[in-house]
Amino acid sequence: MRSYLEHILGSFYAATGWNVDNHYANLTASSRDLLDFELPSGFILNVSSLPTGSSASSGTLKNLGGVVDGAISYFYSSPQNILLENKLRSESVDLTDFLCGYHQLHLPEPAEDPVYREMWRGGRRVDSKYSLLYGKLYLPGNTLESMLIRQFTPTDQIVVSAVSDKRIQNGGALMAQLQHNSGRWCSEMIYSSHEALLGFRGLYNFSVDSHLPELPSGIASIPGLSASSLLFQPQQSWFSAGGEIYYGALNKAAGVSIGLRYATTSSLVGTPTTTTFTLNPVMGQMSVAYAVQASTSTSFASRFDFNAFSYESNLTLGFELWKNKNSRDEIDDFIVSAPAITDRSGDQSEAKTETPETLQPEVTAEGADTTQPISMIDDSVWKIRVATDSPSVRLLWEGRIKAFLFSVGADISLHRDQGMKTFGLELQYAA
Amino acid sequence: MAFHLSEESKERILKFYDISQVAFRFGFVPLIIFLGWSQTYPRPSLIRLLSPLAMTRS
Repeated sequence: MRSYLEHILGSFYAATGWNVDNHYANLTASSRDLLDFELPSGFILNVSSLPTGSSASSGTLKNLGGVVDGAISYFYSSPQNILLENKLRSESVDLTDFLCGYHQLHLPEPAEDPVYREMWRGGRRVDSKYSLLYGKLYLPGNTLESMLIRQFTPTDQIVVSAVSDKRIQNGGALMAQLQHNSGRWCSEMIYSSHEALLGFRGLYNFSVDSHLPELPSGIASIPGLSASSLLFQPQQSWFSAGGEIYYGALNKAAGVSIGLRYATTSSLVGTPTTTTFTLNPVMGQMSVAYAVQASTSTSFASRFDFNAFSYESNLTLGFELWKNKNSRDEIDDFIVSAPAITDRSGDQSEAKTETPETLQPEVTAEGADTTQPISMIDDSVWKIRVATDSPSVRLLWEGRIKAFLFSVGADISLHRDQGMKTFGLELQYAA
Repeated sequence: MAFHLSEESKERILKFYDISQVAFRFGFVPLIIFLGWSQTYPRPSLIRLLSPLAMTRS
């Protein structure tokens, strides 16, 4: 389950139109969410609140092996009302945003014109720069984790994050990233006080190929029907190439890596896929990953890692299954059974659920939804991951019960004598 | 010509560094809360800003 900080960041970037998929660090995000998902460890309770459109707070209590600790976080954003309530309330949020799953990439579109951010009053410019402040205090221990994001223009921002803790070297560490994201090209200059590291990352998106999908044969035979007449979104695909280079001035160590990505986005009948290749020539590590959203409720990912120096290899497989009352499944049914539309001319009574109008749930006079079985769990996802280098199965269930989000996970060893290696439960509520 | 700091100056700089770190560690979160309170109109009550358990905006 994503942390509240990630939700706030997602809301901030959605409101400012910043496409994080263009960051080189997120090149493998689609397969990473399916293969490297984290399991809750111990019992974690997280309660968050959004008292105003620019402030939020969050408290976490964690019990791991009888040791109880906690943290409290505060957020402030500018200008006002930039934090989107519909993306942050656990009661009403779309769980595909809230829970980790197949990450649907956003199209690399050009950033908005800075003129649209200008506000004038009485001949004076009064708009403020978009910014986000975050501070998290861990208790006990008084470790501070902080972050500042400031967008100068729709294409440029600085991200400064710092950790302050007297137990770590020099009492803390600081990292600054200067990011430029024009849609087509995204670059980051990085400085970290840890080892005095300097780095540069870049990602270039090649032009987007766009075409309308082919209709299923049953629909295509109907005269007068085409993909555009059914308002299908065109299926789009694009290719991205990026790399990073860094140098640690204190330890005199350098590194470099390159990555390629080919992605297709969803249309109503399309299959979103992401294929990535990453290579670190210094470490001899290469990795090929493929993630596909096979249907609206299932996703699959596989990754093959190979080290050219040690000849070590690893194959990781991940699968997720959504069970929800979302109407996407009904839309699938509509597409598959669309030829039945022709029956409407012959017999109106046989046209059951195939019409777009009946895709809406039937609502009685009292407002009760009669088409869905009554269930406390409205949305949930099962995730499973296996890898050849570790004889264990990672299993995770996440779902919403009433307004609470639950995450239950376990790492089960396949050796009989080891049993369960990790087990945890996380409970999240955001008002 | 090399630039040399006296021992006293070095100690002062280190002391200033330590104090500023403590001030940052314990002052950053109150600064965020203060900004959230002072830059929002109408101003929310402090308890709603401070506590994650407080009710959200109506």
